Amino acid sequence: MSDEVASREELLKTIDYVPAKQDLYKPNLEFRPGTWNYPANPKKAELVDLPYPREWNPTDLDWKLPENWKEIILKGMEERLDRYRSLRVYLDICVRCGACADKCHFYLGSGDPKNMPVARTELMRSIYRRYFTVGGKLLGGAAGGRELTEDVLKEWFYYYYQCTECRRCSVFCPYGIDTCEITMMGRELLNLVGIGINWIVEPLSNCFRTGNHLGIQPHAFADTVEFAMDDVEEITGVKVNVPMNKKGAEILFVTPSADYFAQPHWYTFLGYMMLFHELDLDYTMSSYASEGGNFGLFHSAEMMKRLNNKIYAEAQRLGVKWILGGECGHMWRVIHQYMDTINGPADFLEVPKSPITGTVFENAKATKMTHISEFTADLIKNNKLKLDPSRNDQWKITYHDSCNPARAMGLFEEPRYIINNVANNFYEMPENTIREKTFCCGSGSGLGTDENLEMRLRGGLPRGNAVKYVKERHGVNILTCMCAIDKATLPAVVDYWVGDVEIGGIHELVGNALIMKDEQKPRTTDLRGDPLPGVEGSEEGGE
Amino acid sequence: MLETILSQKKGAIAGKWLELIADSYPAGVKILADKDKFTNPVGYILSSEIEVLYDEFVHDQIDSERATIALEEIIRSKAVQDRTPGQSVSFVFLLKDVIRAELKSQVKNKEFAAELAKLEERIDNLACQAFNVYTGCRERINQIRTNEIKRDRDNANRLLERFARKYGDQTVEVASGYDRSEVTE
Amino acid sequence: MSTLFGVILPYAAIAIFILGMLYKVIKWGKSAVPFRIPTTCAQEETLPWIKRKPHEKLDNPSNNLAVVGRMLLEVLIFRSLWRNTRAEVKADSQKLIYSGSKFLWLFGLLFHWSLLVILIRHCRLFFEPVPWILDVVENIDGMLEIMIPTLYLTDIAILLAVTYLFIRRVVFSQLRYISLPADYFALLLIGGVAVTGVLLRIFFHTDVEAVKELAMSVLRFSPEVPDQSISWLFYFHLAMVCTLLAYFPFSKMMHAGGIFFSPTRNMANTNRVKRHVNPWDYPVKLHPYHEYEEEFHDKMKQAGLPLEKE
Repeated sequence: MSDEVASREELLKTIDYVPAKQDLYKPNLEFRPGTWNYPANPKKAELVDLPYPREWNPTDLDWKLPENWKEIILKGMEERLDRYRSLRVYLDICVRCGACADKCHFYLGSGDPKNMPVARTELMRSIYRRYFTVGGKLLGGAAGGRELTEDVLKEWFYYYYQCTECRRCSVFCPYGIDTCEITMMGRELLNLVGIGINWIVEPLSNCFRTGNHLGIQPHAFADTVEFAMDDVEEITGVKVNVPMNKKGAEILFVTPSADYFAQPHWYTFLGYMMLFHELDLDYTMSSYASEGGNFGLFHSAEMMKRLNNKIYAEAQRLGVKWILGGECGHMWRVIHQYMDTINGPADFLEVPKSPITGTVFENAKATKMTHISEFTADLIKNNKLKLDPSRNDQWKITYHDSCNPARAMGLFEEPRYIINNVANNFYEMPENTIREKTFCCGSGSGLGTDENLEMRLRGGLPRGNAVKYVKERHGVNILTCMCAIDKATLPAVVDYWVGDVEIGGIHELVGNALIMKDEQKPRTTDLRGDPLPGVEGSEEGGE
Repeated sequence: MLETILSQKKGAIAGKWLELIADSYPAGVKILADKDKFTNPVGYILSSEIEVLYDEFVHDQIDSERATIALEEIIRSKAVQDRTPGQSVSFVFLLKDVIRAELKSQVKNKEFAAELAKLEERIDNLACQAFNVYTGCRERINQIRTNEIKRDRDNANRLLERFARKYGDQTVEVASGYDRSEVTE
Repeated sequence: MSTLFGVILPYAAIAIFILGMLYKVIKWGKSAVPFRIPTTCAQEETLPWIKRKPHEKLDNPSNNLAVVGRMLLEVLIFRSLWRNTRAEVKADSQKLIYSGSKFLWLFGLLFHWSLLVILIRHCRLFFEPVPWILDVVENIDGMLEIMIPTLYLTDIAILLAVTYLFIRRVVFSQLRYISLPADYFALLLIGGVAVTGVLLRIFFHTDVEAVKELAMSVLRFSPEVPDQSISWLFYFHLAMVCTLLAYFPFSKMMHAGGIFFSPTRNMANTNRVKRHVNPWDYPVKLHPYHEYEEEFHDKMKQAGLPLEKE
């Protein structure tokens, strides 16, 4: 045995130890199953006229690109450089200071250096330098340029569908460089040559046809809403009514389709219905505009506009005065930052005014659409609701700020105000994991499929870690949030990283606490059907 | 005897072990620079749990609950990253090299030879345990995936059942409003 | 020689600098801003009873004045870099402690402010008589007379900062991974300018009067190159400054101008209050209600949903 102590390098070489080394500019083509999404179903792509629909597979060598793919991509880039100042400026001015590097949940969870936001952007910036700047054209690699090859495109596919457009990096960047903008452009460009993922293309294609991502047709929509009415009656004994496609109602209510279809969204949906019934609100839902979410946002600006159009169009057809929106994340990015621009002006509507409190929502003066948490917070502030917070005593609650309402809106206080009024046990997660610094669920922007589960778990690590902290410290047993994607995907994240924490919505808690006029007998269960604390038969009961 | 030395040298050995593990992350990933529980969870977990694990190891407690939890904490993130099963558990073996390097003067001492062999056996056992934990993580992932699909299916079934109750014989026709492949969220 | 380095090079560099800046800024300006996309870093203005702290009004500006404030904070004190807070759990007390990891912020700030002050100090070469404000700046900067002649505070600061910024790129693997040749080049260039500047001041004096004459004459567009009194080191210093100027518009250093064009920072969060127009908006293919009703007419009827056409 040698006296020499083996050097670290040698040591590391002796065992199968280090994952493949990567160089920033060498395309990474390792496509481990569980870390990418299935390609778009060509039939669904054709339905919405997407270019080059075809069967292809990311693990294949040949992606069956159109012959002139390179020309298409470069032309597309040129066009977008003129259309989006964000793109041009952000490609020009990054100094690679590294402030963003450890802000990305995918970087923290995957340990893959290309998930540093700066690196993700360099994947495109190197192409920009090579083809659109003098230095790059002349000096190429020495000036940080890179040839556009099929491998680069494949890498784009891998990493631009490994960013949830959450904008956390943009908070910490000294110039506000927003990787979301780059990812959006990357996806638009990929879609020009028919590279898209099914979890985005199929929902948007469904939504275009049936009015919602799930492809639920109008009669089935009516049925599920009726089932929800039945559930409310079963729990509270109160028969509520949800008007559908009703002309002349005052308010059009739009919410993500998952609310009336998926768990645990369903309980939040029950909460809305109870609230509206209690207020005797003159509202309607619509089967045509039965989707608040907008997977077009994850595809292209054009697709976003095509889907979003239904909301204003339906508001006009039904002749409502204003629009109320349910709990959702990216839906609110579209409504807050895009809707008026892409499909406005909504001159036919009035400035939202709560018929109960008389409050005029001046902050929605142009777009004419109010967030349900603004609406409910205003009700509570004006003492219009009778609430029994003890009916949420089975919960020790924490709240997850969803990326879009947080960083593309600034909706922080309303949900917290509501929680504090409808429940007794609320605990914040650590300061640098909430509000504008909130960590993504890891499944946003159309990445929430089961085939992509491992990537989602990587992305969910920082959030899970913060939840674990409050669970161990305060015994938190429910993570509330106002986003349909969160509600659908956080259960998996929490299951893996924490365990034994439920996911719920704000209006589920509202529904639990709401004392309704028509209620004849005291409630024995919460909206999940679990016995309330203090009621006989409760003993950590239920499923 | 050796145990005492290992306890005394805990700082050096556990520290070196940790460094080697940190080096196993790809270039460009700075695991130990920032020991923040929330902004660098992987680094934080690694640095705190390796210490725990080392203590348990030295005191021959590698199958204690604490050791298992420490292993779980360390391996859970590795199990979802771009690593082979081998790469996920091989960090345990690094301890052998570190100990050998740190105790190189004592190693020549014959008395220690037997003890050292025992120690290495213990490391092998720890590696087996790490592999069990790794497999547990992977099973958990599969379970989660199954649960997720099941939850979707249960949702769809729940609604379909209600359709059946509502429409009786018409069920099939009505339910065709849902293309099952579309019902995925 | 001195004509080349003292006259031709500076003119060329300044010309490239100005034209390059204009080119970039016009390019940026011509690029459209289709959507209003501020990154909101605090509570937005909504219900009147939700009170916002002063900094929140800047981190999520609801009017243009607040945007100006936000930009000022960003440009003058690097607000966003300041956000790098860390939380640590003290092992013994289980208490959560927030601390800052603010080295990047600190040295970045030192670096940029020093550059500015040094730039201002150099203005005395272009003014006769020298404005009083320059004297004030110089006096403050020269407060600590460490050596004779005055070693300015900013000289020390910039050398420290450049060194730190360079070293972190070499030492931290994370930064090494993302650093390009251009990143090292820019730091070396500025470091070189600073080092030669300090050398000129402390060890190898040059005839400042002669330099000033040259500078003024260049400024008047009637360049007169003084005789041998200006040292080669000065020309070296000047040549590096010229390289910096000419390189500036085509490099990452354009962040100096670019930050003012950043839509996530320079727009107010008035999204639902004021309409923002997309200049290149175009009509898209829609799925209007009547087509939808046509397709699902029978099913809607069966479900009892109201119809436009019975």
